[in-house]
Amino acid sequence: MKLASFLSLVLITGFLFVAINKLHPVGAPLGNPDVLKDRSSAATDIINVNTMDDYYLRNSQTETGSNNVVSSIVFDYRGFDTLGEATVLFLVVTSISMLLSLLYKREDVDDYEFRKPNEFPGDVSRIISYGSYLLYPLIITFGVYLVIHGHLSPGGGFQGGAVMASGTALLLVSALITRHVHRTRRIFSFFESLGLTIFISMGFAGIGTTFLYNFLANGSSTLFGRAIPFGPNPGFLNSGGVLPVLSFAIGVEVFFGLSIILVTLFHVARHRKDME
Amino acid sequence: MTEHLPVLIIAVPLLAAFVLPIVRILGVIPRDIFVFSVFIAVNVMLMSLIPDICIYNKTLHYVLGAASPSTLTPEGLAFPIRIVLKIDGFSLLMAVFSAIVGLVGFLYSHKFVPEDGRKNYYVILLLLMLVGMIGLEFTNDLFNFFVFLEILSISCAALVAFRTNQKHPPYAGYKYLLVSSLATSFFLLGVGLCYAQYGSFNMDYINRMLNHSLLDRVALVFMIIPLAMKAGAVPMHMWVADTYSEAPAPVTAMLVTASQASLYGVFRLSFTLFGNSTANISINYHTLGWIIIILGVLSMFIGVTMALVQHDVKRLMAFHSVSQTGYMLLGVGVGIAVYAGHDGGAAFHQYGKLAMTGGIFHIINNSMYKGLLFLTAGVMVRRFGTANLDRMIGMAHRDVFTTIAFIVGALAIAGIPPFSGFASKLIIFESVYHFNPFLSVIAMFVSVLTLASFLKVFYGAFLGPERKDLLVDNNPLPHGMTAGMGIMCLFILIMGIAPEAVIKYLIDPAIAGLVKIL
Repeated sequence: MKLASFLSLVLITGFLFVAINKLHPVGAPLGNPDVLKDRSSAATDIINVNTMDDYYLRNSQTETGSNNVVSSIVFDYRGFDTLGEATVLFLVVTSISMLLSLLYKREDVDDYEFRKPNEFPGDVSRIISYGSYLLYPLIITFGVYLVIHGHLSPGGGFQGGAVMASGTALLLVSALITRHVHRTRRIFSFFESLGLTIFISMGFAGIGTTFLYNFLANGSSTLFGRAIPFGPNPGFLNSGGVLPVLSFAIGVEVFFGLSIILVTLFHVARHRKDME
Repeated sequence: MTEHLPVLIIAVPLLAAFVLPIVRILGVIPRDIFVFSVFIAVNVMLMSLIPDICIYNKTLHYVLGAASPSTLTPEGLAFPIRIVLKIDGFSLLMAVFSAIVGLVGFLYSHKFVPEDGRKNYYVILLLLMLVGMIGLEFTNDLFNFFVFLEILSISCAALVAFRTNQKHPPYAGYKYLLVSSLATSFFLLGVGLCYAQYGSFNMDYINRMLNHSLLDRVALVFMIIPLAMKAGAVPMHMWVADTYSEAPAPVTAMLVTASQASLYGVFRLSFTLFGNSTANISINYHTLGWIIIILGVLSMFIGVTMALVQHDVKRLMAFHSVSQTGYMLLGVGVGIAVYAGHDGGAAFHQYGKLAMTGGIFHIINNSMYKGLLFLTAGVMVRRFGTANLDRMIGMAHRDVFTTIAFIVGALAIAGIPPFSGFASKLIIFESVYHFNPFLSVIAMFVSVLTLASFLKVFYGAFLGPERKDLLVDNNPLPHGMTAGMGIMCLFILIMGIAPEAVIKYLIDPAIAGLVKIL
């Protein structure tokens, strides 16, 4: 059996080496190189575009009104994939809640007491506890910044939400909040659903044209509709069409979803510890 | 509104799953009515597409987020830049039967899964499983396919492990999760190789640009083998018995359809992505066909011989699933092997197309009768508290309806007229005989063994004296369970009595969607 697995490993590695050998160099354009050199020329000239990525680089700013090409691909051109990936996270949260819910009893987790930092059985030091209290608002602020500026700078809903959820993790391990944790679970679940519902509702809102159509871009200048010309610009919050809304929805979903996972795992760990 | 149906069929159950934690606050009965109406709505929307696609032979395209649903590429471009959903006969056929089995699974779960605070999660996962199946059957985009494959895998794994208070289900779920993540990661590697070469994810576009280089063949291996693994073909079948036997019965019925969604992936990629009917590359294609045929014959034979020796009714049926997957691989594999032969498609028209008809017909038959058999196994386990055949006796006294349902399912799987399995198996035997008589003989032999092992189950569990002392649950069956089995029986009878109509209106359009040289 070990020989078989070793052989299959060799075989797969061999396949991959063959593949690497035949791949064209990373970053090298697939299409006509002369056309691609001339990136500064008018963005409307799409006839000469030879590959999908080049189309994105040339047209995403004018089409979606977002400075961040990655965000415009993630939330606009391939928004349906992003919806699917958000569903995967929702699925994981649901599965973990379902599978682990039998491992602890609700009565047990409800009467956790508020503990002072030095009374926690894990012996968390004061520096860690108060340090995390100080860090928490900063982490949340940074996460919110990433979510809100998703269509302008690197970042976006997924990253910002994950950053915010790391704040939850910090509060849990520093053991400053234990008493109300179980009650927050239901609220977290509500907001997680709300985030996803906002996302898919924006998809349904575009159905006058197509599902997930960016119906706010280049529209009225009051609601994320500011038109962005091709080329460098300082970045305007009020642009990007539905991108900021979708990014916000994903941020909410990721923050609350990951928090549910952390809280559930926390309950299981606490329960195990209390049993000992 | 009709032009938006392709995406609505995916988005409506998705929305329902998202709002379910909020709907649950209203109570259990509104939740059940809501979910039931969503399942019905998906079925109705799918059925309403049948006339357009299957009778008028249209192909529906839906470009997500574009200025119009049917503009495949922006003006002046040769390639699509957005995700395209494409519905042809084969996608629709698979999606219709996925949705029917989904509805049956939900009905059956109504009282079968107790209302213990976890039911809500269970229903969410059922909905997402349906989304995963329909999504990967509708999409024409490789990465989107991967995303839906992921949704399908994770929801299946969680549902398999549903009974965490017992010993084995968490292990079975974990095993399925490992197998699925292995399969999806390798699939992603294959997708990456395709993207690196052609700069697009669109299957139709890649198929037009395909130059059949060595890299393409490596990508083909990385994409087909994981999907065959998820479909449970020998020698990648080690997860099937554990997973199918430990999952709750309605989930197992849906798992059968989920495996067939992966099988759909195998056929879709072999034809739509890598298929090319020009004769100069046919060597490659002949080999692919033979690989699929060998996988099929091995699955058929090893599955049924493993099934014969089982004493656990659910494991027995699980090994039969492996064996039935073999028939589908055999039928379509013969079609692939003679597709694009040097004879200009003569062999394909003579028997290859017929073999594919049999293989695809067998897919939908299997999703019905295998689902039905697993549902009856759920009743057996509920009655006797164990899946061990040696501890079951005389169920025919207590559950007349379940007995009839079991007989229908068992005769259908063994290929006895007038049930649906007969039609598809006969077509496979006849057409494969022209290709290679030996394969046909193996298929017939396996069919006999199938009948033998189901006779064993029938004789052991249903006949015999009534033993009230062995029953752990003597309550009447909930109506949901009866209704679920009834729907399955109905479809088996319809497809068995009128196979010509099914072939003409459902299977032929499906083949037209796959094959280009008709």
